[in-house]
Amino acid sequence: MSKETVMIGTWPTPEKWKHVRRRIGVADLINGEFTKEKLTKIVSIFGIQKIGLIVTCRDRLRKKFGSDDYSTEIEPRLIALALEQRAVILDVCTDNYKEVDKKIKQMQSLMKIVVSAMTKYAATPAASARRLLFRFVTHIQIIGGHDVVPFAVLPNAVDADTLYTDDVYADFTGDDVIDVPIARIPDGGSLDLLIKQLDGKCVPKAGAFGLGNAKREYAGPIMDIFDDAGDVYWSLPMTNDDFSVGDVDVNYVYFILHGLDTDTSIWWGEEPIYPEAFKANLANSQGVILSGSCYGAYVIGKTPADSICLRFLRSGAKAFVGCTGTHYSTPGTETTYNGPLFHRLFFEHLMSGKKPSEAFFRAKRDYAPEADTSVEEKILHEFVFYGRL
Amino acid sequence: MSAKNIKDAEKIALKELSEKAPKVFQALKAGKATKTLREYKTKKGVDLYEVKVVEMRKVKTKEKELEIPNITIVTINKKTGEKKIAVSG
Repeated sequence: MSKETVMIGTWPTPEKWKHVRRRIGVADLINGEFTKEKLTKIVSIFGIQKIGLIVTCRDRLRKKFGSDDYSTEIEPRLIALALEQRAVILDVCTDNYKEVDKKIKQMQSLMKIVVSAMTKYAATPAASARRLLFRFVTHIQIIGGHDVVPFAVLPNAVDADTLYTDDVYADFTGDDVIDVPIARIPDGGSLDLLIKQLDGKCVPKAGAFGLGNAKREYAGPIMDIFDDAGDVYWSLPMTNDDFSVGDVDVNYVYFILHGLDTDTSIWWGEEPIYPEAFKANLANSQGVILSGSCYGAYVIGKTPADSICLRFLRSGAKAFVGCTGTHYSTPGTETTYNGPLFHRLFFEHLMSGKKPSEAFFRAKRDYAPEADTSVEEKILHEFVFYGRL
Repeated sequence: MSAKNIKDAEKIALKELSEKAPKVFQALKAGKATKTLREYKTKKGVDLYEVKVVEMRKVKTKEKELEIPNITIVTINKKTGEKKIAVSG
């Protein structure tokens, strides 16, 4: 057996927790360094052949929030989340996204080796190998912002943006398409935000809310996906003064406005006037939010005080989907390519009953074959999912 | 209409802009925007021409003045002539 090890924080399936505690010991389960032998033992005990990954850096979270708050507020919630998501905690502390990616892929390989050695999959024909590849790591949940677990970076020939994405981590086949659902809970330096998102208790009101740049007519057809559940407002004539905090606390929230990375506390309406259409003080919702605004999900160096996205997450939003860079629309009511196609796919999957992270995963998988230009390739990767899986 | 070369692509793109993004077209004519041309192959192997027009627009907030780049990209498929317009924001 190899000496290759993977850090695992805890193990899933609460129903077997007592059983495992007797057999192995809690400390080993939570903080142990796992060898293939140890992983084999665990897999054997549970009969589980696939796991989720929670990727974070405990040391960085501890330094950021202090040892006391980390121990009492964050660590217990990480463990609870791991149990709930049937996941192990992969503790990776580095600024190099390639090292994070390597650890994730190592975990996948290790699980594959362990499970294959123990099951009939060892004799699986090559034709089924690709299908089986996804049996071992089922999903990835990142905890923390860019300074805890870095975003991956992809080449971008479209504009001056650094193309930040989480897609790289969930692409096991190297074809630029995510193979398993992936989500991130950015912390924004806010313990309140982290607690709210880790707890994940969202009870949004029924309904939908849409606010669009009046020059982005396709927001109308996108809002039609929600049937009669809500209306789309246009800016202009609407500005942030026309809305109150409660207006966006509904199930589905959709924005297509202008945004900037230098000021993420405001989104603007139609060009060339650029009225202040929506501001961070209004961002209070427990629903699912998709923003097609430029830099809508850009959170590097931001806090809930200066980011609409982080303010939504701190208020308990179930999910926030947006771009890390410049977003690209279509003219008119066209929703068959560029950003609007992604918006439509996401909301259609959501309305079909899928949970937000699954709708996002399906939207990415459906969008990828349609991405025929470098603009669309960028759109594919710059959309990220914030929230719980 | 398919484009035989990058010059052809430029003509097609400008016509497309004049119809679907007239303000961007006017800004370009007035010298308020910059235009770049390129041809490239996507990861999937699709050959494309691209005409990109960038205009910097000022945004006044209560506290400060910011600049928003207004980017419009016309992409033309070399083989099929299919056109796609992308507008930032």
